[in-house]
Amino acid sequence: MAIERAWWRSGSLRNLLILLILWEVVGHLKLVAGGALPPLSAILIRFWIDRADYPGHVAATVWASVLGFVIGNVAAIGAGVLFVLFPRLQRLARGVNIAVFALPPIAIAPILVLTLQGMAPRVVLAALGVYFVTMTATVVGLSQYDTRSADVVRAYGGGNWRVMKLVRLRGAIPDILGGLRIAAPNAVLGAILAEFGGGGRWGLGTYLLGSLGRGEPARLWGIGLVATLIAGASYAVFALVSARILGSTRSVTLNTALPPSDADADAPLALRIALMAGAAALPFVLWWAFIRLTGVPEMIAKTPWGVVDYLFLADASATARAKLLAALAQTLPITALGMVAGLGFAFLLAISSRMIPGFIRAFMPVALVTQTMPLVALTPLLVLMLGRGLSVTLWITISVTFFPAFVLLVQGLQRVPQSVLDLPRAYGAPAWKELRMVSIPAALPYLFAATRLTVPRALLGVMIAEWLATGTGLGNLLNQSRGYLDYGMIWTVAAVSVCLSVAFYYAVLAVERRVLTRLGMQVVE
Amino acid sequence: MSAAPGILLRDICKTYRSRGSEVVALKDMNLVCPPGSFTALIGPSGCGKSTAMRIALGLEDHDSGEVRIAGQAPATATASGITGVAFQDAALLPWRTVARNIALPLEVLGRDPGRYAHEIAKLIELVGLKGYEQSLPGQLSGGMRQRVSIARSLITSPEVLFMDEPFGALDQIRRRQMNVELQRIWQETGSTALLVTHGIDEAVFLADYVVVMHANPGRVVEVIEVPFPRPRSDDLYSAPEFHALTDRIAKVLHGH
Amino acid sequence: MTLTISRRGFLHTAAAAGATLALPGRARAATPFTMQAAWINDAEFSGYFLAIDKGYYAEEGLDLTYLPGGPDVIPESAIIAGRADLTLTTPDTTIRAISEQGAKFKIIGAQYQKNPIGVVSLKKNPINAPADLVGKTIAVPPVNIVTVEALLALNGIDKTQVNIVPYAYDPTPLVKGEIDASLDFTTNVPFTIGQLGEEAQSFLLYDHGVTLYNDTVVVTEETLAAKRKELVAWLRASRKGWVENLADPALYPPQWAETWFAGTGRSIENEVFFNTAQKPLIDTPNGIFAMTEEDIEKNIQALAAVGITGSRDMFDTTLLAEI
Repeated sequence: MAIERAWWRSGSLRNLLILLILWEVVGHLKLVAGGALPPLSAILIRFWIDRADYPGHVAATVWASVLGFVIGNVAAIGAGVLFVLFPRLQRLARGVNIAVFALPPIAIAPILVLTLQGMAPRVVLAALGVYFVTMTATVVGLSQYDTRSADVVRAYGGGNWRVMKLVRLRGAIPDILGGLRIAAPNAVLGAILAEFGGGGRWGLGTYLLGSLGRGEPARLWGIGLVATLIAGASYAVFALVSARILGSTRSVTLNTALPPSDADADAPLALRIALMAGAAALPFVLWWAFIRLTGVPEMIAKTPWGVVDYLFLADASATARAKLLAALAQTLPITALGMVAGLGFAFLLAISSRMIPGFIRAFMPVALVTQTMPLVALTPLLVLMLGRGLSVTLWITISVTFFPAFVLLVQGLQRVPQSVLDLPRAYGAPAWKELRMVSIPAALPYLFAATRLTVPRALLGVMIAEWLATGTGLGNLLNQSRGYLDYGMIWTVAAVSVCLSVAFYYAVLAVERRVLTRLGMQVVE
Repeated sequence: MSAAPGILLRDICKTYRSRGSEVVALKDMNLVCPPGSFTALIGPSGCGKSTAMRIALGLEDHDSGEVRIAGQAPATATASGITGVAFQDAALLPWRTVARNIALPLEVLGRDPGRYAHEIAKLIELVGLKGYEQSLPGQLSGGMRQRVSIARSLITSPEVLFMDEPFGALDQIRRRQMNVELQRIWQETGSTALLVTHGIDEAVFLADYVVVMHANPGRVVEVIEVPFPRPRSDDLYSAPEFHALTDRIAKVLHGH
Repeated sequence: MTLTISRRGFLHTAAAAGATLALPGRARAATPFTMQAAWINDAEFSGYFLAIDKGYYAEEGLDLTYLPGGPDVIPESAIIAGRADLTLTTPDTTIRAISEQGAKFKIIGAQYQKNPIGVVSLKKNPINAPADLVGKTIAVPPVNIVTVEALLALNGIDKTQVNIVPYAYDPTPLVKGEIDASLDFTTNVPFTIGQLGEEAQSFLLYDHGVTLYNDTVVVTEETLAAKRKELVAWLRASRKGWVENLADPALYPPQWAETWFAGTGRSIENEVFFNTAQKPLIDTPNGIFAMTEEDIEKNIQALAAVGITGSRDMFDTTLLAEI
């Protein structure tokens, strides 16, 4: 909240203006990669020339995003209500929820294009982008309610459903709205990514693809900025709605952990084991059901068993494994490195926001823009600025990971009680000493939460860089498999990248629980 | 010990400004705490008593006036380790054990906590937490945490001790026990103490001087000397002269 | 995933909506027939646009649905999944799928007698032959790496001597000198390079041993058996469209500015350039789409160089004979 408000008022507009002027000057002088960053005026002029092209593309993107947004959110809110009413269902769906949270869109897009047709891949990718955020917000919102009001309803004979309807749903609206706000830009970015790869005539992603071959950075930036505007507007709409409804806006929160499901500690062991096994199996069952229902032939659409067969049993499985392992060996280290760099960057920013609040105000607009820019548009330009080595991959990965991590860390730092901060200062400690002894350790739980959050994003960033810039690793393997009609590999890469994200999520969670318990701190939910 | 007052605030003014509104937190506030004395600062919420303490500690800037701690500027005094501080909430770092929380000021001051092992152990015993050295704050009760915070405020053997409602979160019974303990500890250290509190009972029981403040603007309205001999015991709470004094302070406090 | 059922219903509507979007000039009361193109709308598919607009498919009794492609669209997938009856592919992927995965495809024609893909460089830093690539950096779409490896192998160049990086369909890195060459359609990208103030230099892979078709017309054996009449009809109508289009390559692209090429982000001049440049690669005295025995043999040999085993029976020339 503090970020949001501070950003709009005071120096933020002036800072934004300074930035825009700086951009203009840098663009005119062709300081960045010989003009790969055109001046703002050139982008606007280009936009004016292209103005006839935009309405159709914008309409298609907005339409797909809205459809995906509605479908994803109906599913998410419905699931959230069910999870709260039937906690065991939530335990059972845990695997699915985490998988949806962890799936890197770039690995899923080709699969959706293979199995669905028309606008469906865009809509589904948009819907997948919103599901987790809204579902979590719903569960959190429904779980925190005024028990006394619920008692009033119960005292007049109301059952669970009445309590849900009269007390909990109303109380959850602020949380759900907060979730929708964060989910909205996700829907837009999901739709654009699917448009980029998925064929079709209209959509900003398609426009981007056609424009890439034109060698006109001003156009690419124009499309990127329009996409950013749409994503930003979708955020603003819900910010406004919640401000209207609630009279106040809530923080830019991203929930990273699954909402705590009522522990089944008292349930019989057999039931608990069954639920756990079910939770692990359910994503695969749904995967299988999805393929059966779409009726796409086996050669293209691989079931979980098809992937196992491809990787371990088929004649060419040894080759497939070797290729996959080679790609993983390239992708994983750089993903880890990119994550560390992204988190480190977020950490430094969060710390500096504590020390120099004005700096953050200047930085915030740029940061928000980087979050809503379609990466595929800028990667070719980034290559010009940064080459095709480690640095371009790292930059892309940092740019997709640092922002959510930063927001989370700032929140963490804001929650450190004033008296705890005062203590070192009361002994004359300089700011950096206070940071080292209090703020940094206090932010640790949030750093862990941020780590969990950034895994899939880091994988997304690395794979995009690999696909469009470096030609290595999983991103390249995915794209090359297309040329080889190697459907098994396409599904394998998707499955492996999701499994890796989930595995990493749990690994971080395990380390986190252990470390925080040892430190006497709570896991940030 | 220097002959200068332990704490000296002279004509302190402090105004909070936010868009369109001004709040005068302190207006010409004066406070003198003689060396080795125990002073209680009492007043209604918003009278600026905590602000005064934070200004004395250099945690907050003031608009005008002079601050001296044992004759020095606050920044110099705090950085030389002659002050100790305890806040309303225990303000313990949840990831540090009891012993390491107590050692925190030493680390801030750049001293080697290892050389203070004996003092830490003594303080833990003094506040009655022997056996809990390696516990984490999360494993302690509210009263125990408060005692850790008292022990921490004493680790540097401070000449001047600041306490902002250190027992505010405790119930009445526990609070009286802690007051008795605090008196004992303070007498052993012989430091100048400033206690910010809401409680008249507590102020009278502990202090040599009770400084009464009023709000809007925050200012000192009266300084009342407490004549009771030390060590004071629990019985004092039921003594008629104790009640006479608390009644008088209550009247001053409520502006009669 | 709880919404599978309703989502399924939705898919149908979405697909229908997509089809309508994709096809402004749809004909009526004829056999539905769907083709999947290999890329987004550009001059590469002019012949089909023209045949649709002039009603040649309708005359042949086909109600044609045209699906554009994109980076994630695998043309072959559309015919395997039954979303399209016919598709345009690169012969290497198709033949590899037949020989290695047992895919039941047949190649029934070839749009490009000579593959337009070539090595594009700048005149000021020209790469005139494969040998010039040694020690240089070439950007290649990851799906085409094998093709480049074939080029190098056929010309006796060790592939470790050439630095191959991914190509993101953007000529900017070439113009800025970040790379020395790119693998792209020689019919297309030289125009953009000219627009950017440089002069392009290029050679076709075809002229250096990689004697492949491109945009091969591919169907499944099942479709071949069930819809033979429609396929011949499609070939006939498409050929008619192409002949007319190539008669004056500058004539039609401007007419499609507001229809087929609307909003593609490309310019009409670019499409005219493309259409003109591709003419010699499509035209053949044997009739457009023709596959002569000699050329089929050349394709098989070129693929053999990269270890892809093709054979004559993967090509079916009998439909062409029926046109």
